[in-house]
Amino acid sequence: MHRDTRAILLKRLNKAGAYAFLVILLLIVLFPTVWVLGQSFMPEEQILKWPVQIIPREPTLDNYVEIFTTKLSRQELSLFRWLFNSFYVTTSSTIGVLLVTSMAGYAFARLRFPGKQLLFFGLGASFLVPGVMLLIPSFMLMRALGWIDTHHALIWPPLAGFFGVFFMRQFFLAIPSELAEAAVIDGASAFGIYWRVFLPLSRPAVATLGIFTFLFIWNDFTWPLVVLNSDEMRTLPVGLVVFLGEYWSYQGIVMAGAVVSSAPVLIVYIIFQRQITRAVMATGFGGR
Amino acid sequence: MTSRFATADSDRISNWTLTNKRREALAGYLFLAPYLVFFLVFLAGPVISAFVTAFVEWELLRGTYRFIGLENFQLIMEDDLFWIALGNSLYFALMTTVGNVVVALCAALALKSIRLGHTLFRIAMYAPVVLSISVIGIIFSRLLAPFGLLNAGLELLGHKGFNYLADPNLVLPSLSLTTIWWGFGFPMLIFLAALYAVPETLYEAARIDGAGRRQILWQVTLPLIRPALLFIIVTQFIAHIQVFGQPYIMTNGGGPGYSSYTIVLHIYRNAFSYYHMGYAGAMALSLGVVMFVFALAQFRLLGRYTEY
Repeated sequence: MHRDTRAILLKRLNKAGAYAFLVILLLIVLFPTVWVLGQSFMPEEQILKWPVQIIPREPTLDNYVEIFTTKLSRQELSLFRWLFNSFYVTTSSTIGVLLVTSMAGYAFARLRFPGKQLLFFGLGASFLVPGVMLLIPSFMLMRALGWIDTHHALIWPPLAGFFGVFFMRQFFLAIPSELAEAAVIDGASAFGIYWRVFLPLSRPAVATLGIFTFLFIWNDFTWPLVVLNSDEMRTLPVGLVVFLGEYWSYQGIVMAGAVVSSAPVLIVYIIFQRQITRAVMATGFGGR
Repeated sequence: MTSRFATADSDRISNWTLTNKRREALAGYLFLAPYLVFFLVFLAGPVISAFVTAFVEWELLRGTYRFIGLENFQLIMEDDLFWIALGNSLYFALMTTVGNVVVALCAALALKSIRLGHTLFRIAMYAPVVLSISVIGIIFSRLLAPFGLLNAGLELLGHKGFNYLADPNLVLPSLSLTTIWWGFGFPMLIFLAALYAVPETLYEAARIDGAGRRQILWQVTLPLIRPALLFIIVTQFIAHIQVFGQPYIMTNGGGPGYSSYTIVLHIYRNAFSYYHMGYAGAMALSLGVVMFVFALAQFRLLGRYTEY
């Protein structure tokens, strides 16, 4: 009896400790976020006050109006241009990745051909090639193709990524063969089976891969910094750093810029957090 | 040989003939073809040219291109900045990897033991991972400024605070803390998955044998999630030694002085500010090959460990 009460007490203490730790961690994660949001709605006078203010006393949208209406740099551009560039590049590339890698994943999962294993592991080795090694040769390739300062440089290279092939293959492998049999008997072509049977069945996998690809390309910083050099072509993350360099002393505007550029990814994340969490836990992919 | 790939759907169809086999193989290649084209152009090609570039003197501005053998590697040996940058990158990667693993492991253990609020905590802690480095860099260079949020907090505690990003001794730890804030949610999820995979019966057995909490952690939990630990340590180290955006955005590309100047900043500057493509390529190749070997060793080890 004594042992039991002790065990229960210990278990409760354990739980209390776990909660205490998580709450502290949560505060550390949330506090900067709340501060950024607060400052983005503050007039500059309040921001300059010391000690730092968290809650805007007279909330204002001025900072947001400013970042969307100001003409950026010499080219008469606004933040909308970069927002549009980011959307355009990210969606185009994501669609391409989904098509190309799901087809390859289908071949590896569902079709038999000589050299399959060798090819799979050969392609898979590219997983281990670190990004820094590819930076310069890829840049030279873009120069050779005449793609420097064009969106082609951002849209096409991600289609070579092996993760999508691997991810889709795993999913296609798990689909029971009986489902394809009917289509084979009906005389459907290989492409017909893929397009009308397997792709619709793997909608959740396609969605997950799509979200991952979207986030990855949207957030990329180094590559667009290297291959784009005119203001009108830039994507949002790079544009933001360049633009905020000029507004560096106006903290409210800087913070509004940070909010505007993280809003799209945070919305995507909150809507699809379940799929994202599950995919990260299952594949070990999605970090940096 | 029955391979693990033997799942062909048409295999189950009765009138299986040689022509069908050939048609299936053809279909396989056709399905692969688009991906293969992109792979060859944008991955295989650059990997091969990375090996060539390292052995040439390639000055983009002057237009020189000639083979010089190992000269670029000799230059690396004599380049003080390369070694300073390498030291900084190693220091940063070590700090960030250890910090991330410790925070993520504690968070995962805590998350596993609670039910109420579990999802909320998990969602919030992974959220920073989806943000871009430019947002993180912008926010944290404000937060760590002399009159930023962190010093305001310290003042409440009666401390005058620090100049985090301008102090040569504090700048790398500050960038590291920023990076941990940004990224610990990812290893946390990996550890959480590994923890859920440990059979509950093992814990019960240990408890019946009279093992304490600490004993269970060190002798049951940690050995059983060793593959996940190893995977995270190696991939995190490889990712963080390539740190670039943080110092590029937050410390003006490596300041104060060269205190936060990293190896990828050095490669970037040599390639895209001075256009010493060959020399930068040689540095990138050296770093890349070392990391590739690291990653390969990890996968071999993982293969050995995962058979429990």
